[in-house]
Amino acid sequence: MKNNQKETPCVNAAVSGPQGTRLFHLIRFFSRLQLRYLLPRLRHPQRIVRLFVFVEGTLALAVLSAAAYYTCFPLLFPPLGPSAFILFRMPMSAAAAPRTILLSHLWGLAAGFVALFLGMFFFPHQANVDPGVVSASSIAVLSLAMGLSSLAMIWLECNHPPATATALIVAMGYITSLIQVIGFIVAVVLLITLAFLFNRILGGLPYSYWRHDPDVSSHYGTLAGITNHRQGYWQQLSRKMFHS
Amino acid sequence: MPIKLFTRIRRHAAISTGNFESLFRKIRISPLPIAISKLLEEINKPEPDLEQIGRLIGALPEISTQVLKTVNSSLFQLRSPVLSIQHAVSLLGLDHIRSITLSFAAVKAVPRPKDALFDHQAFWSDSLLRALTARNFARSYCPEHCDDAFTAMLIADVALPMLLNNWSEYYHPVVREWISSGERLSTIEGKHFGWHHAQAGAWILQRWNFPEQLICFVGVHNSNPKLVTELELEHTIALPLMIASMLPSSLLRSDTRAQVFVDAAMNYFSLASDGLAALMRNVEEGFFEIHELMGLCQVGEQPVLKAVNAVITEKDM
Repeated sequence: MKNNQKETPCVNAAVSGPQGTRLFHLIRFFSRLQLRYLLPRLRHPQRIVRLFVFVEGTLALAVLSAAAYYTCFPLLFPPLGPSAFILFRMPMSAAAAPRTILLSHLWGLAAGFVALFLGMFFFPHQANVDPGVVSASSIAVLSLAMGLSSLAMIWLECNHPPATATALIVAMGYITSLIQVIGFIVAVVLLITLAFLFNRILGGLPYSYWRHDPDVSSHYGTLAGITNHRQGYWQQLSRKMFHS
Repeated sequence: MPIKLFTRIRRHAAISTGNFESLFRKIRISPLPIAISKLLEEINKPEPDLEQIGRLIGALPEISTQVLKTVNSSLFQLRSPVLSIQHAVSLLGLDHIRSITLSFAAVKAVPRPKDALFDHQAFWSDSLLRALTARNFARSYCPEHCDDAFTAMLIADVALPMLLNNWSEYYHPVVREWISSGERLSTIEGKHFGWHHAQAGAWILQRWNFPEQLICFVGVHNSNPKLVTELELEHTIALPLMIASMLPSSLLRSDTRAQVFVDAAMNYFSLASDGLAALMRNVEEGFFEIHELMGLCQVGEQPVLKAVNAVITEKDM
């Protein structure tokens, strides 16, 4: 009760307790602008989802690009684009969980390097071919990178499709130095951190800390990647009960 | 200090947006006994196994005793006593027994807060009276679901003890205002938070995997007829629940509330004053027969019923 008194002055004399304080009113104002609050209450929820994906995706890539520009550190890689899309379009899905993204990209890197080194071992004469040039060896290397990264993702239950692109850019020879590898990992961690902040603060969504929780995400429809979720009358109605 | 501020911001955000996931995250909502969870699982199946349901209820000695006592009370007006769950199921049908079982299971799982503003006896007396009233209204309005009405009304306020126990700093002003103003609790909750305890109760029941229909009825129990019509629930037990929830609380002996209840009951169910008086006598009889099953101590005349009967007598004159 002492803490509550510190929070006063009261802005609404009719309402006492912490809910009558300025801080409460301020928090209430901003909390009610969050995606989680707006989504079940709007007539056209898809509009707010589009705005959310646009704002957060733009902001995330802006932060990554700015960080790359100011630190002169390689932080921009093509697979991060689709990863960012999944993180903000389907933040509650298994594919967007921090564990999934980090492990899948790490395995993508590993699969790409394994395929590349095997290619160099079996086709040593084509080792100096420019990245992106299709040759007999690159067909084998790229196919193997794709297969290995897919296998690793299924095995470790971390299905994140953009990670196969990571395997491919490594196998194609676009990532060759240790600095680039470190840069890529830092960029993935930074993207996850941004997703955590944006989804939790702007979205008000219970974005997972590490592992995906199917019980929590089952209530978030398309935000969890559930597009054809059929609900009966009572089920739909009971969902409405929780939102005033 | 920053952690304290952060915690306070999180608590403000959770309560101001009705984020029940956050509101009840740290509250230990006692899980239902395994047998009850299995029973709910079986009930929620598209084609439940009736024998298995009977067996599962029979495996809960305390609850099956409560069910048998209820079935043998005047509520069911059976000619011969029922001695087993299987017998009760064959006599009354599974729906009735399922409903009563769920109500006692839920009551058992509700915590008993040590809060000064929480009166255990008054809370459960009021809930039982409302449940019996809802059941009696439903008996003529939609007889096949009268026991669902009993269950839904009995557990409709399931969130209140949890909110009072764990969100007391926010909830005390609401309860105090409710006591001093005489307004409906849900109206005051709406003014303070933008949501009410019926919604929180529906969320808890969903966590317990209660049937979706029951969740909906708990969620709308303190709404208005307009919403009931909007949701196309006018031919369901929603209306009996809504009117029964208008019964005044034993903590607030308000004649105005009793008057509102009597007017609504007579208006919506086309009851004459003698019909309503007879219905309230049934409620009283049922209350004295089964109040001990709720862990309530010896009770005398219920002030709520006294106030309602006084209004009915006035109407008669």
